[in-house]
Amino acid sequence: MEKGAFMSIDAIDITKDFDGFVALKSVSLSVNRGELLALLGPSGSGKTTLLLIIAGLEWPDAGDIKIEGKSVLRVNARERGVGFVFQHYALFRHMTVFDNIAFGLTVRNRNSRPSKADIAKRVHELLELVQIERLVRRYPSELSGGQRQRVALARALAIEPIVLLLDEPFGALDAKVRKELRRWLRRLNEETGMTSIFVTHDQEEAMEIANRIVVMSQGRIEQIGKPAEIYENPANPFVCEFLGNANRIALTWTNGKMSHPAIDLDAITFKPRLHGAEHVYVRPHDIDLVKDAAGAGTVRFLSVVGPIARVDVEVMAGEKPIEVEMPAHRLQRAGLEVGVPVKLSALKGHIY
Amino acid sequence: MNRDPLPVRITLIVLAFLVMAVLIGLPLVTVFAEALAKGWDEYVLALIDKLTLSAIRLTLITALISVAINLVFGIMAAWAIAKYDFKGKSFLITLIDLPFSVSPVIAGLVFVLLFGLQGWLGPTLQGSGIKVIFALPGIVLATMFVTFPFVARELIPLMQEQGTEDEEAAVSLGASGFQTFWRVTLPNITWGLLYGVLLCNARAMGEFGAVSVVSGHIRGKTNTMPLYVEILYNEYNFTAAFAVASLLAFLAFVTLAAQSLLEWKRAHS
Repeated sequence: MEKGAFMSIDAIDITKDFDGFVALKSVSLSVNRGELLALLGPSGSGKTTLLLIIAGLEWPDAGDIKIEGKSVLRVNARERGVGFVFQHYALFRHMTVFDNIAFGLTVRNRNSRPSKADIAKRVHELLELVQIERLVRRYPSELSGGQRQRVALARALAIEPIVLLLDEPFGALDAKVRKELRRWLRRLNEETGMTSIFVTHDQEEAMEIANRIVVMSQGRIEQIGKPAEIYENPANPFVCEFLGNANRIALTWTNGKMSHPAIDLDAITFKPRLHGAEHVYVRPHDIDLVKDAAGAGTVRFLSVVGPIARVDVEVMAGEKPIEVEMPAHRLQRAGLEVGVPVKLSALKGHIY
Repeated sequence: MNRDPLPVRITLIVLAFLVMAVLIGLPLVTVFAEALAKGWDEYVLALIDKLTLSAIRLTLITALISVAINLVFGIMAAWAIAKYDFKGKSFLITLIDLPFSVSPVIAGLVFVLLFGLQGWLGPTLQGSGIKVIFALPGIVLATMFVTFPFVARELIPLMQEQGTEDEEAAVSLGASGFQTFWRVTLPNITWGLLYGVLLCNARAMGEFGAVSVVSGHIRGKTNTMPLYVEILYNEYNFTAAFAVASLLAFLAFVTLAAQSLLEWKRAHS
């Protein structure tokens, strides 16, 4: 595929209400040409509704959708030229892989429909692109989840869409296939420059392949930014806790200085206006653990997954333990074991 | 797998077979035995009788029209219920089920009240020369009323289960409404649809009560097969009565066989 004329998309003040349940509250968003954008949020955050509205499969109660600056609300899904990949693939079960992929071309009216030979050529190009040439005569029921997803992708690409929308594209796949298809999607985006938006509730997926992430919750956009930006500087407690883990630590203030009875917080800097905040959010890998007989914490649980060691430290009886992560090789060097007393110090934290 | 003691299992199974044999097997055998009691010649003669043929023709025409119309309405109703959200949906479903719970005779009477000479619309229709009661339209209407639920009832759960994603996918790929229906929706519901049509047809051909009220029993004109069986029987013409009845029984066998085939197909598609 050539680097084509792919489009920018603007959602302006989109509001959508389903019988009293507000799915989207005045959401605005600009997607640049060629961008791979993730809509990230928990279920019920409105991300899929926004995707359906961009595709023309759902209508907003208020607001506008513009593609290349032109409103498309009056253009129905059939004419919008948007490639949509459904969460459960929505393959036509009575058609072979070939007929599924060819569908978008065969339903065109006589004037714009390619010849049979051209359709076959195009389908084979797409099969090659998604690497399933040998499955061309199979039916969807004879395919694995990953193969079905590839067919769904090829089918959406067949109509040469101006933008590609994917709803939880890899949610139902096992970890290895998911990883492979993620990479494939990023490569497709890099090679073709096709504007693509995908919905996910998996922060790792969003962080790994998106150029930008839109974090959504309860029908609102919480933050928009590059993956590293959002991770490093989450705009609010929701984003902080949703993207990666964070320990919520209750604060005590004395003479303009914050403190916690068991955790050293001296390294954390904060703006004067945040004085008096109730909590600080600290990521597990931003906490330093030192074995210390006088320490206020006790190691309660240890687990090593590959290179990362996870340690749960109890700082006050009955309270949620503090989660700490460190490179696995440091665990032994630091002499950490279950039951060992430790001193905790936070290196970095977010205050709101 | 099953912990009931063997004697209990055997007793239950034998009882089930016995009840079936007495209630269903025996009568069916009797129908064919009576029909052929005076030999093949009499049997065939009874079947090729002019009045019998006319009853068969009327039954076929009635079934053809009412099944065709119920097919279209059934798909429309099932589509509306399965794919849209609207107020009064459960009321509509209840309404579709109504013919199952209303005595067919009442259905017939309703049409007489509506379209009969003394009915609401009767005089108007009479004035423009349209005859509904004691004619084909009345028979078709009564049959349609009684058989309406079959197609819709079969399709609603099927379409609800399939949801709207396939259709949305088709539209987003550029298909028109008609293309979407013809190339995506219809193939998805083929087996369920055929199943509904089959049951609808069996009932349409066998319907007695509702049709009896609106038909007028005019021989050679408004007698369907079930009605004609009754007339022959009342005239002590047992051979002919059972001969016609045997056709209806045969229809039941064909329906049953087709039903099993469809169920097998559906399970394997």
